[in-house]
Amino acid sequence: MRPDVDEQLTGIARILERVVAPAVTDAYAADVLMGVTAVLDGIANGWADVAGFLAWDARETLALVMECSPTHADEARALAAEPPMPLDTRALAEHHTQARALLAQVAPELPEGEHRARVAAHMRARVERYPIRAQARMPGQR
Amino acid sequence: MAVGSERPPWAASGGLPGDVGSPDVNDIVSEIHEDLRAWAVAETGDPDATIEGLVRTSAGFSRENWVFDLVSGPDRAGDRRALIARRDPIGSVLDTDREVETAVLRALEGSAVPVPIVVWSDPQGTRLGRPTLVMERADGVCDWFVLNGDRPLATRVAIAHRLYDRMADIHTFDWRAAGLGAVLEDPGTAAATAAADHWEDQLRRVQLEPEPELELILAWLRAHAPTSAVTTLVHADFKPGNTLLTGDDVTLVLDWETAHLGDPHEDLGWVTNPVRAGEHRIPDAWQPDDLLARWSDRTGIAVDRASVHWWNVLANFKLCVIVLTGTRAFVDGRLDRVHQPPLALARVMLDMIGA
Repeated sequence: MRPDVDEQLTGIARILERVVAPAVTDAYAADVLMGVTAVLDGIANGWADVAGFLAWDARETLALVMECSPTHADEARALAAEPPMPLDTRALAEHHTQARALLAQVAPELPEGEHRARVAAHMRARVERYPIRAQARMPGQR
Repeated sequence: MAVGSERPPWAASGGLPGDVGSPDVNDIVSEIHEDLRAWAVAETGDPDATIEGLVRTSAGFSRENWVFDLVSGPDRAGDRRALIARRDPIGSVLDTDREVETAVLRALEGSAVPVPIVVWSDPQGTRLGRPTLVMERADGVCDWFVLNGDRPLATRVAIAHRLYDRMADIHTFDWRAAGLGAVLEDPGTAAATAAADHWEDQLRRVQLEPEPELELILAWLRAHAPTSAVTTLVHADFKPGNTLLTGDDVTLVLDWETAHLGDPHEDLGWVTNPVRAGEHRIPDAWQPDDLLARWSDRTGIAVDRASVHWWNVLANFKLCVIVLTGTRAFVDGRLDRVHQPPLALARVMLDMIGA
């Protein structure tokens, strides 16, 4: 499958940067184009890891909920018992959202202590593994 | 509760008000040109008023900025005024009120805080289709990173003094005497709780998915909210990038769209946020301790360090919500910029609260 997805995304970003950008004279459009190109680069670098990230994050999240919240443990167990097909990205995303929804209920109720520290440690770990990164500017930053 | 049996808050349906597609750029410029001319004629009474050099600038994420010259008289023989129209966008990273902004700017005219002069105000959006302020376009340079730019260290420190003295002047501005109590709500001692409420409301309105990190942070904010000792005018987005410099002087403080009454520690927390150190600090020469001490001397208000820390956390929570507001607008087709999830900010906040 050539050009593969990586090659197409990277190539489109390159075309926008080398061919289209120099011809764009409108300041606003040029600025937007620069952002679009950066995002395409980020997707090109990370899209292949999205499914793996979703599966890993959902699995870890559900394990944490089972461990930290007696109230939500059964729901987490039920979700964990029926993981989606590993190649079905949409199903993985839905499953991931459901897992995160449980953690969103559990996290604010945790008192300071071991459980909260473990949840926070996972939150930090997922920042490191998040697959899509683009050159970021603060909102409003030029 | 079975998963998905209730509608979660992040699944709030529908786009935000004003959700439309993007028409052709040339049509927009032509339309704005005509509408501005009609507005100018109505405001000035000059049937020959013309609009020249109309251009949308790239500056600003929360507002469309259109710069132009207003020329009066037959055959363009009259005065020429450099103006800027700041129109609400279809999609934004912020949703704010032009009527309030106009009132704040007009109250500050002639005070120690140099602000843009509002020429015309249309908070209802009857002139250009969306709420718009037209202001005098001032000379000066906007430099986000002036404190870490090419100037000598002593000059940069002097600029820092001028910058944050202007912020202190905002906090000593007599908002009651200026009548701002009629248009702005005074949260009293509960400014922190009011801010947490406001940004949680914004979060619920825009979030597209669960945000466990922000839920955890929000719980911490609620559990540790300080009370405020004094109510002042708060700029709420004070930074070098929201000022204009003429030479080494700070000649204008810009972007008042989120100004409100509250605890001055909110601005202190914003400008001492470690995430924004590159904008607000000078290594070994202008650090938060220097800023807070100078601010306290100038305002006569004692600094509460624990409160500053709380507002540091709130500053990052607010930045996260602003990013998510942009994400929502992008997904709804109302914003031309893509923001990735604010993961790094979440990590910073976890560190800040010791989680």
